[in-house]
Amino acid sequence: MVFDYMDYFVSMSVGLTGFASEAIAPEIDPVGIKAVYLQAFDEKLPDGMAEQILQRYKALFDAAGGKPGNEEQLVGQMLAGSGTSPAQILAMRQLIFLWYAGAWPTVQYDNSPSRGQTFSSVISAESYTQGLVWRVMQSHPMGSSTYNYGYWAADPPPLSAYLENPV
Amino acid sequence: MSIVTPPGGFDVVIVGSGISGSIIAYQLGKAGKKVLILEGGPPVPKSREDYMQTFFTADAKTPESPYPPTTQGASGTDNPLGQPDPATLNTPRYTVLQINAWQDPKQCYFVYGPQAATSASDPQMTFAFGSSYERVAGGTTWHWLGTSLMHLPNDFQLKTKYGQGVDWPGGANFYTQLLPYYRAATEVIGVSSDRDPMVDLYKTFNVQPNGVYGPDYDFPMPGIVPSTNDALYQQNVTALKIDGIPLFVTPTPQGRNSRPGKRRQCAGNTNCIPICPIQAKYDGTVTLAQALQTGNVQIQYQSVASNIRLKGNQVSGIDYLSYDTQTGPSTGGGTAVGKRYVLAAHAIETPKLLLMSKGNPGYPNGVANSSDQVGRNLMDHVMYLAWGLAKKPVYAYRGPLATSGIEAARDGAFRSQRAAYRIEIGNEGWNWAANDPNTTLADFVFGQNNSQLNGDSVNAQGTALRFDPTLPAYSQLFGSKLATTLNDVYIRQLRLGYLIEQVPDPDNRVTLSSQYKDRLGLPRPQVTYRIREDYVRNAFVSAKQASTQIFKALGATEYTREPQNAQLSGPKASATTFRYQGQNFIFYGAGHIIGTYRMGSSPSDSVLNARQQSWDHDNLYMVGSGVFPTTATANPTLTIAALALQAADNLLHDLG
Repeated sequence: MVFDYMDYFVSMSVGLTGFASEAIAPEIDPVGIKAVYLQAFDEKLPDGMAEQILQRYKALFDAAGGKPGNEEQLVGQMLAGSGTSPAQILAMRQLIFLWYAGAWPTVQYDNSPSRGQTFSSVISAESYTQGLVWRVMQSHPMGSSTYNYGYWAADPPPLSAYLENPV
Repeated sequence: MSIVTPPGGFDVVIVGSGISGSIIAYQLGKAGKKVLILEGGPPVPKSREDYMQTFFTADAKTPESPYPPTTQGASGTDNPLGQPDPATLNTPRYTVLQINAWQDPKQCYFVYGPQAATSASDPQMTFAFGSSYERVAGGTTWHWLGTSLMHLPNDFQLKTKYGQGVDWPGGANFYTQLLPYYRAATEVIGVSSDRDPMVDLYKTFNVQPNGVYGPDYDFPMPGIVPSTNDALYQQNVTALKIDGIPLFVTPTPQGRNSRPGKRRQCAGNTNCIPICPIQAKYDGTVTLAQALQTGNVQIQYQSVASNIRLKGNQVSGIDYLSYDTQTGPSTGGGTAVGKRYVLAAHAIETPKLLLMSKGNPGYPNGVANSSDQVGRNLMDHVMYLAWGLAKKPVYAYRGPLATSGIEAARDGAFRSQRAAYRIEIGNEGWNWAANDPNTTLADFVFGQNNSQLNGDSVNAQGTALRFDPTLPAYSQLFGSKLATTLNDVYIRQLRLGYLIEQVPDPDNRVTLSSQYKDRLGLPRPQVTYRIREDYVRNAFVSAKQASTQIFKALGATEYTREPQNAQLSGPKASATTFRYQGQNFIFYGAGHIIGTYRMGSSPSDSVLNARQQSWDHDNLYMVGSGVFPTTATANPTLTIAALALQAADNLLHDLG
């Protein structure tokens, strides 16, 4: 069952997104978006692919000592093709997009100067507001501000605050 | 809810409960007059949370996306966004998603004829109309920006002063007469603005301090604080001139609360369009509720006006069709009767209703249409968008969508040669211009280049646009490099919007489709829309040059994308692209649907007199931006509200 791999899903997502575990899957997590994303990751891909990707990540993680700290290096190996197929690499990139946009992407490549287009479908209202794009822009989801009047006249907290902590 | 006719009947029947209809209903209701409003759309929801959920889950977050009827459903090969067939809906309306489906009446509510031009530089080229509206209680103010500027005296005398377009009835005197109503309109809307910058601005247009809303006036609330993005412009544009006019930045008066009051204080949701989640921004439902609370105003929802009856040359009733569900059958109808009638259904549905009403003896071309001007002179502020990246962070995507503008070039001698414009400074990065944040995200995750940040793109000034020259083209990033790259881009994004004045063209018009109908069996609007005049096209050239100068002064890199050559035929025919002076331009709608039942000083070339009263039927009034003879240079809502207040006074005078 893919949900048995939740800890590895979070760890792999830390490597893929550049956000700390506490920012994307806090201990006290009233929203629980990680479960929504893991389910979508499983359902949107061909049968078993999500689990195969997570098994591969688990193997690399465990072999590297089973401790946090080198998630980016591990996903970097996988994205470079270590034990992963092109379809699995694309799936991992789709997962990055899902974390950032809260939407599942359909990627169309072509030979134009833009190399094609990407369309996406929002998973849920919460996935939209939880999208990491709003945090990397040091802001809030459009339509869901957590700030007070006039905040826009001052510089925001540093990016590190958004990458490391739930906002 | 059934209509309970008061003893003595209704004094006034109003079609439409947007800002104009609601203002008139409130003014009349306060004075003890009995009013019935027919509203085609559903009631104001108990909580706007339902609309918010619809917005959050919409794939394309367009101005209409939160509101019924639903704009997007299950997709198909020929209908990627799953746009509903307007023939299946009781109150379909035009949406911006329909612009690129303009040749397909199964997706697009407006019906367009085939492309008339043989080249994209032919002035006869026809386009999709760029702007949309809502058919719900509260109307299109659900998705307005909140900009609350006055027009200028010269806006009302364009013909006399510059030889362009037409004058408003009374010319410059129109401004003087409207001043007390402008003042009252800022109270209705609850405008936040500081007086001094407005006095300074209007002085540059030869409007003296007392001419800014009247003597001793100040706004209901202090101005909304400008954004960090605005500050960059404030510091850098003052060395520039457009057509000899020095540029400066003006904080924009806005219909949103800078203080907690009857509505909540703005929390900077950066989402004024399509929906303010906390109603810090004014919308028509505020005034509608006040109107209903007078006890003298009734509203009949889901009742679509379908025909105007005449007895002699007086309106004697308005027929309507009711429905229970958006895709269900009509469930009845009736005729609403009053002493006076007001059409407040905005600039597409109002002329449609007049044109549909052609069964009355003596008026075969429709009600109020002896001039043959109904439906003509359809206009918008056609928009030129420009976008770029600042050298240093400006922290885009924070605050109201726009908090300042460059207003200085809204009038001047240049206006005999080219259309005027105001420049809106956007706070929402490349959201509108390039569908960000998603486009930039997809580019750096999947190795694409639709943002021009991740490939080998070069701008018109010859500057390479790849954001990080140390990275290869079409990079596919992940982890901390992705996060920091996206951050670096998003917080630097700049966007300018030029609201270009359009002039009246009688051939730009709304007629009735002979072939296509809605679910109620009413004909759909057939729209013909062109931008033929060099006067307007010259403003695009000017706007492009001005943007390049402004971004240069800011030290920013311009990313404005010149559109591909227009495709003239077939299902993918270009909707809003044209070629002028050897350059391709694409225009956007400002959401300002203007004209189609204009005021004038002669019944031969206008639908309404200066009282907004039909020349043909003196118990019929019309309000909204449809009455404007020209677009002028300010966003129209404050003027719409002022004119509605003026029309209410005229009605009260008539009713005695």
